Amino acid sequence: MSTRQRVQSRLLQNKLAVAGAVYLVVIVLIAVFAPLLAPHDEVLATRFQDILFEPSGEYWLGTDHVGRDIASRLMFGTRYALLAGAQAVAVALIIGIPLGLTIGYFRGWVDRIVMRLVEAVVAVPAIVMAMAIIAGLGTGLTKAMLAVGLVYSMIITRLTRAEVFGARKELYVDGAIAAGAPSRRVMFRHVLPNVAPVLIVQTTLLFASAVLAEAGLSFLGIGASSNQASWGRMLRDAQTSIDRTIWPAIPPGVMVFLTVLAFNVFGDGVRDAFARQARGGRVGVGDVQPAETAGPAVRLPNPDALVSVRDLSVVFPRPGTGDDVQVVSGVDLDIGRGEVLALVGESGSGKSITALSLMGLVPDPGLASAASITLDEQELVGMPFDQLRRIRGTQMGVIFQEPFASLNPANTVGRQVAESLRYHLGLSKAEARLRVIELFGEVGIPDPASRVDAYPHQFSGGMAQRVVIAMALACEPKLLIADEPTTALDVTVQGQVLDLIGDLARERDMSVLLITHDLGVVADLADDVAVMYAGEIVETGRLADVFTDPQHPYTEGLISAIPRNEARSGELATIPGVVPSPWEWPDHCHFADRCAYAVDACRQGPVELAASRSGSSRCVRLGELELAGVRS
Amino acid sequence: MSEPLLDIDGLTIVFPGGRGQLPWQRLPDVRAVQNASLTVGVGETVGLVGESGSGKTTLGRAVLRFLTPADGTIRLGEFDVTAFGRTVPPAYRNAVQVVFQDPVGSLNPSMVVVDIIGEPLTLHEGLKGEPRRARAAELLEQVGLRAEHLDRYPHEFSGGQRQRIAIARALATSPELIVLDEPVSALDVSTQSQVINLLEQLQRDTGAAYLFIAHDLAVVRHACERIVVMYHSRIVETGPADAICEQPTHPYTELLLASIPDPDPNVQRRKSEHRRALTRGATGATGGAPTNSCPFADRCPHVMDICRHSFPDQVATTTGGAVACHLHTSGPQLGGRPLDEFSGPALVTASRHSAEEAPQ
Repeated sequence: MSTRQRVQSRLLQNKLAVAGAVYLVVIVLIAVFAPLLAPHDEVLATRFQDILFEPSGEYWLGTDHVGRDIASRLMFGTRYALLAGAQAVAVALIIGIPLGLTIGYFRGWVDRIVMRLVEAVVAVPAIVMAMAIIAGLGTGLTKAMLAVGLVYSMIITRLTRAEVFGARKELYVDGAIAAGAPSRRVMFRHVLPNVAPVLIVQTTLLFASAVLAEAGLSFLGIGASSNQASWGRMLRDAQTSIDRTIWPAIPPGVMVFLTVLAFNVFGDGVRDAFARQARGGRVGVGDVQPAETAGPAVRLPNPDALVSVRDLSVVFPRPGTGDDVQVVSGVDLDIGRGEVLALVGESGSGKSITALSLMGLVPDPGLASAASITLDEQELVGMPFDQLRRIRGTQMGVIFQEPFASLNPANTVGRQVAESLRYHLGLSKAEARLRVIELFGEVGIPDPASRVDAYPHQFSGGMAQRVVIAMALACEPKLLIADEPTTALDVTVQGQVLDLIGDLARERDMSVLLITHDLGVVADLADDVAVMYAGEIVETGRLADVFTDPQHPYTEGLISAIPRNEARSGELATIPGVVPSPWEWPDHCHFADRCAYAVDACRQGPVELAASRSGSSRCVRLGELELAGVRS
Repeated sequence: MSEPLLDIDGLTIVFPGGRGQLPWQRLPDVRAVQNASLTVGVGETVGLVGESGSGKTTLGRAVLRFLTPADGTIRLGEFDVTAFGRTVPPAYRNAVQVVFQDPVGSLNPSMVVVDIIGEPLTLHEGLKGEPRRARAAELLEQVGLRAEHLDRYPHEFSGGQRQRIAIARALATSPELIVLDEPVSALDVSTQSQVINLLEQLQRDTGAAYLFIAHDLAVVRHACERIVVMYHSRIVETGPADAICEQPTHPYTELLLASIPDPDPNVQRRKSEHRRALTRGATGATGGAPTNSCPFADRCPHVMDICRHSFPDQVATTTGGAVACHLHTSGPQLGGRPLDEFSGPALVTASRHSAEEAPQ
């Protein structure tokens, strides 16, 4: 589906935006066919005795102070409103986009001079600035809208420049330059189309603003002339008879109001349709539902394990069609007390979603269900939200891949770590601060007493990850969930952070769920391994067993593909193909299409996880195959 | 060796410091690359390895002429890259292409594949319409995709497939050199090897040379003949890939090797002990690169006084490379021999020899 189709379908789902669009289409039709539709003339009064009539059969909306039909004038007024809007917006775009593109792309002294000018213009209210320009140009609707357009072009210039600024840092722009594209081509082919959505939205909103400006200027008498039936002019005319009736002011006022509103809701709809994410995640309310059918196949929770997950499934609506797609199915996990369980697999295997489900953090609109999730003998499935939040805050800690994404750049790291101490443990400000300093010392941050007052940007990646670890450990959790904790770090720093996690887990008898795609990291830290492929666990077992004697072809493939520091012999081993999208997963073995050992039996139906020599494996040919582990 | 294709000599790249919080404050200049020299032969793959902030990407961008060096020269065949004015000759753009790390950001999301791959074809060969489409399809098939993919948008592809599209675009002008800036680090391991195998096969077919920029020494060892190691703006060691990865001569290279986690739990246990023994100082490189000392001095387990006062000259190594480290000229006088022959004074010596690679 192309971007355009996606935007269109999203826009059509937005009822308010559709209503706005329908209104605007009607307005345009009225403007085009006004001479045919209007029962009376635009300028000439029909009969002079019909002054200030109430609405009637002949005059639907009555007549004004010189006896002109208000309904007819409103219809002609749509022409002036749209024409004025179009003129102002056209002037704004014709000047603003090329200017903004140029100064945003080349920067330098031209940029500085133009921007000072733009700032000076924008600092004054648009209508006042327009009046000043009209003083030079002379009055009249077209000249007035030219003036408004000039002022708006400053807004467009500034917006285009800011967008281009960001867009020209994109790698594809560098790629186009490396491909030899001249600057003009880079600007118009590569930069402009990707800043267009923002400009389209702004243009719609400016249109609304221009309609309002036209009404305002015409009301003041420096826009439409007396024989042009613009809405602003009608308001001005209504003023002359205001002591007798206010009625003639109401219809044009309502039209201005409705038209501006229609442009705005349509513009908002367009902006939402272009936004990358249609909806934000409802973090915290995606708690795990009880599984509908807890069949006899479900194993009982392991009482010795700290964490025991049974039959965990996660369903997401498929993008575009909205059909439910299972992205995690029937996952069983056991994490021993004080042990590190590594959940490994390629991206798209469902390993991160599995971890988020444990915390009840499945992003909206996903839905997690499980027969049972126990943490230290407490059943989390079906637990009231407040209670779950409390457990999540005090008994679970989490570290994500990007340390800086987990830290608020506008707050000192000390205050951020102290927050959960004060909220969950009820410590006072001073107590919390002392505890944070202690924690910083434990995670190896040098000079902790002064570093608590530093901001995140003052830390290197490795140090920032230590802060995040301190935050995760603040409430002494029983379970630490580490989702690719070292992937964003330099390799020489990675080892230190892994050591730290390992040492802390041992000292505190804390269990760790480690999610990673790097088998080297697994070998460094894990006690147990669970291999995930396409939403299913395909193999589990103790680290040494799984890595030296894998029982599933996917595990073998992952192990053979990892580049080790050894002399090269021939082509690198690969797993052919890629992880298919969840809606392409077959009913039979998910891995069969990429598996070198696949036989007909593999495509005959679902494969269950079965006990293997060293753990469990989901393979039809379990026991038949001689699979290679790490060579030592 | 005969005349190299790419010859970088004494390259220094300085980013001017920005303004401080007050109008008259100026932040100090950042020296991203200092006095770096390296060569890439015709059809050769040279790995440029270092951590984030080491200057490796900046060096690659200088070769692509995205920025102007403060000092030194870059030559590619007949071209004197550092002498170019504001506009880069189209012939140079033809000769040097690039593949970036981020397979999402490096393809224009509003263009279909045929336009992405077709752009250089239009710009350099004036191809349009059907001939351009046919050539784009050919290139797509060369990188393992199919002609039916021509009319799709980048977001319809997986990371590995997008990287293939980026490679197809780079190949469109039949370049002599492709700068590969972390081409596989955003990919899954299984896809990583697919892309490396593809790059090698394409090199055999087209004869293009690669400057392979990466942070993962194990990946680079598999993909490259020679390796250049950078640390915090300086080239600290160069040499044949196997020699660097078996017998490093610079302490930073040694730490880098010890830091690559190995999937064999037994090997990894020994490696992590070795790494702990080599680790001094809790952080990676921070702040601006020093001009008058070894940037690794604060983390080096063998640091000597002289390391803090001067940056060492390069010394030829016995394994066919070159190293810039005072251990080879002062103090223990290794003279280019590998570090594992070193027995002199060191701050940390524990378990050095217990930590070699797994017994074969």
